[in-house]
Amino acid sequence: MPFPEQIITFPDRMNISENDAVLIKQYQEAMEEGNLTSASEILHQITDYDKKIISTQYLNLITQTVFNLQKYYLQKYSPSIVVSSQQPVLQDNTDLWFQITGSA
Amino acid sequence: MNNLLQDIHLSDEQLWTTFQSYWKQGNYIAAKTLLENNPQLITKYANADWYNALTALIYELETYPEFYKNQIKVSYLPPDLDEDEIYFEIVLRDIKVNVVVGYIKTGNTSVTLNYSDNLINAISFRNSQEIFTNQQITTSQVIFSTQSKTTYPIICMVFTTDNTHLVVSDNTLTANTNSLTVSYSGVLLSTICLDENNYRIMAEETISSSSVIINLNNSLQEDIEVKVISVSSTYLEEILHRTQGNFTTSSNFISLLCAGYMINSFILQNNNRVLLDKEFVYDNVILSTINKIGQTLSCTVFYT
Repeated sequence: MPFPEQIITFPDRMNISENDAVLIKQYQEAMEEGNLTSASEILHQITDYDKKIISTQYLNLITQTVFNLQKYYLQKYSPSIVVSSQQPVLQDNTDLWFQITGSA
Repeated sequence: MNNLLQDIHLSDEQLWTTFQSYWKQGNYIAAKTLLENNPQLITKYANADWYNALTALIYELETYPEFYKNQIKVSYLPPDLDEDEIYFEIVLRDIKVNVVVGYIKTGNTSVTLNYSDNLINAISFRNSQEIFTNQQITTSQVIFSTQSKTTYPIICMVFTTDNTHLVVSDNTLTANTNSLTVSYSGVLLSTICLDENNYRIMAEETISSSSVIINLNNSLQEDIEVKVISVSSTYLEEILHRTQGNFTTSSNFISLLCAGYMINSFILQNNNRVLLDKEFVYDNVILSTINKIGQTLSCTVFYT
């Protein structure tokens, strides 16, 4: 389920390490040769490979969540309602401002 | 994430060539070191740290709504509230209001408001407990579904935005009656509501008819208590049936407009009490509020 039905979490990414060098070089060579099957097999041998690659699935999840966040906040705070002593500088048309005029 | 990323520039050509060379050789550590240690490239690559910072910000925004938890919300309609939470309701009406309040305890699942010859428009309902989900609205009638509220008193209030008197006709004030008529003419109705938690908010409108009938559909279990209060600058003027009102006096007397009613007592609290024998009141009753200017008084009228 997307946000806001649930909070989307993003597993931490990891940089490649020196220990990955041999497999990465093999992976790169397989890709350059167009041998995607072999490249995929090599990729899966890299420790935590899923955290060391930026996939379209990962980027799409980020993009979709950012879009949903924009939509969520736009709906939730339009019109904006502000309670403050001073008029908000950025008060827009249809925004509501309640002025605090004293203290209890 | 303070720094935005940049594309590589023409001036980075040499470094880019070096980086590619390291990468093709499989010398990834040298490639990584080149990126991290060269100020010219510091904003021109995205590593795991950069993505983690980005997604951490997104996560923070997703969970940011927690910031207003337990804060008081301000809205036209009830927000999603947990128990014991409150909110400020935006009501667009003049401070000077006339209020008609009817307390109706009903065993039925609906209360009907009839607006004969009046066009009701721009109606919205607010109800945090969803008891009005089955409302039916026509040009002459509004039915409030009370559903699970059958064992609770229902409060119906009519607010007007001028000082025109709202009069409750006497034939509807009998205990256990099944209808309640609020009579008025030419007043501005801004809000009608049932119960403290269940409001029907209308756009301000002029009701030209002379009455509003609240039909209880033979479901009334207890008496109806009706409150009509018209606040003017100097008087509290009431025509009431077993009712009471609080007011702050700005004069040394209040005038109760009771002509034509069988009144058996008036009580003006706060050291002022007037008790009459049961009698037919032909004219208004004036109660002294001397030396009480600015104080909050309450007035109770008993009526048989």
